[in-house]
Amino acid sequence: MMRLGWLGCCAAALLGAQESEPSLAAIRDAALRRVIAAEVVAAEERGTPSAPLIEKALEGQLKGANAARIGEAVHALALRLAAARDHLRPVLELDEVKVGADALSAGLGPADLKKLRAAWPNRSVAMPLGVVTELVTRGVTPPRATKMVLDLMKRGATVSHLASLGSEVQRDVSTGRAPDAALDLRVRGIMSLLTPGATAVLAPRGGKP
Amino acid sequence: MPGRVAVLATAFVLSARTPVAGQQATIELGAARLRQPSSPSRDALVAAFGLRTGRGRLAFAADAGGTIARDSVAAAQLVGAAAFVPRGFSWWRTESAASFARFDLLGSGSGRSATLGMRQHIAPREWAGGWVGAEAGRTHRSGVSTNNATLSSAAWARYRGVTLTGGVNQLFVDDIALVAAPPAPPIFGTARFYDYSGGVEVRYARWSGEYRATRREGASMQARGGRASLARVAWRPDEHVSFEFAFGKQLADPVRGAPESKLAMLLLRLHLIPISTPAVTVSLQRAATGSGAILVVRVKGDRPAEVAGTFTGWRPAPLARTKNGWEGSFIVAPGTQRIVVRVGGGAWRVPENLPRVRDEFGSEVGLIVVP
Repeated sequence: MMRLGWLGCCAAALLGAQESEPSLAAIRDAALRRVIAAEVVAAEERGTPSAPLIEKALEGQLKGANAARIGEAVHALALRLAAARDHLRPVLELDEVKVGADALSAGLGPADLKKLRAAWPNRSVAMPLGVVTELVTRGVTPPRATKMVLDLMKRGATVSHLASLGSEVQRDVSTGRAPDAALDLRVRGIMSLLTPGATAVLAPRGGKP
Repeated sequence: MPGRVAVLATAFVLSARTPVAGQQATIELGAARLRQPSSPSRDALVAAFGLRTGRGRLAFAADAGGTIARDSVAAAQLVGAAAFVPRGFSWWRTESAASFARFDLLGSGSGRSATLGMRQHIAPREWAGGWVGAEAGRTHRSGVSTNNATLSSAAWARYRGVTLTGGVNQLFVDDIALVAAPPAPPIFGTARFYDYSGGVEVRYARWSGEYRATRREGASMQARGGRASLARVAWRPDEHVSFEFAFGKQLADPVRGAPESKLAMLLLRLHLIPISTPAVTVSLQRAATGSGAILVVRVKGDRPAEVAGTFTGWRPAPLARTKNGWEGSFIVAPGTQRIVVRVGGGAWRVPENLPRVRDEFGSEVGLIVVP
């Protein structure tokens, strides 16, 4: 742990690398900047996060996309964010909406988002949603990924348990195991770490046992 | 006539490779000396251009090559190949290939050949696998057309840099003149052969070597067997250039219309898009304090690298030079982060160890979940 901390401090000090807040001013095309600004205002009025919209515009700019395509991409993302907010009600934090939009983009359905929210009505589902999204992008089918993560959530898995799931599955997939089989294996491994008592203690109120 | 075709076909066999994932563009220039039974040695110049592109689960390859000998032999060939890995089955790869060759032998007429093949490759473990396949070819030469085919099966196992391969091919040959010792015996119908082959490939640093031996046995009357072995040594001083020397004996390849021959060949291969694109990996380390993590990006190779993503506000951030390549560390917040990396000012691409998602701009981004 000490070594990790030391490495982290050195890396940050040497590179001065901190996560950057996206800024409208970084959009070079003035007309596009106005379009994105309007989307940002609309998002704030809807109560959905606006930073992802600016990020999307900057991503398109980095990749050399034209203004029309960037505008379309940003608008489509705004619609996904609004849909994610609706499916995740009651929203506990804006990160949930952002990750929910990613999940919809990856192929998860509204029902999957609603199931995750129902499992953790009083805790942020940003991390579980992110893990399901990552598993789906690694080749696990959406229903299976959702079911496995839901089972873990209901059994009291911690955020770090969930976060390690994706990388463990990737390790198995890279050694030739089918993604679904790899997920089964890893979920069984995590299940063995969860004590029966933890389920009762950590399960959110209203969650099924 | 078959003797001259050998000059072409031998080079074809050597230049046609299995498609692989990644992007490659290569130019090959070389010289070869070939000798066939009962013919004098022949020197030839070899030139080829190859393209490989692979993304996700699909890879394509295309080759165009030509061979010119001092006695006015010229030829051109096209090879197209595709490999498919179904979603969720990384151990399964279906490969198919088609080739077409035309040879114009000045003063001696012309001919052509076409082949079509498919191979199913299964690798249940990273260190072992095997395949079964079939290939059929039609050759038209000296006004006569023949059909030839082969069924193949092989298995391989790898330990560190050493790969062992063994296989059996069954050949069905109508082109009797190609496989029988002169004067050709009067075989009517289709001759059948079995090829038993074994090989070893060794990779060490910038060197690679391969040795392959084949024993052919006739399975029908008057079908002539034989033995052959071929060795290859390659040296890659840097990622843009490699040299290859191959020598040995090849048995007749009836599917492509190539007679038996001995050869020695020296090739210079220029990799316009480097054959080994630098490995790019992303890992997470626990932050010393607070939430989030430190995202570490490492790129192997000599060319400078940049990273961009949600954590840089999609602005390119240069990586710092290290002993083994390039590296950068970034403090990232919990949640999902999107990331792409660029090497040497090339295209933005996804680090190899991350899952990838399509974006709205016709490319892909890597996804990483930060606890």
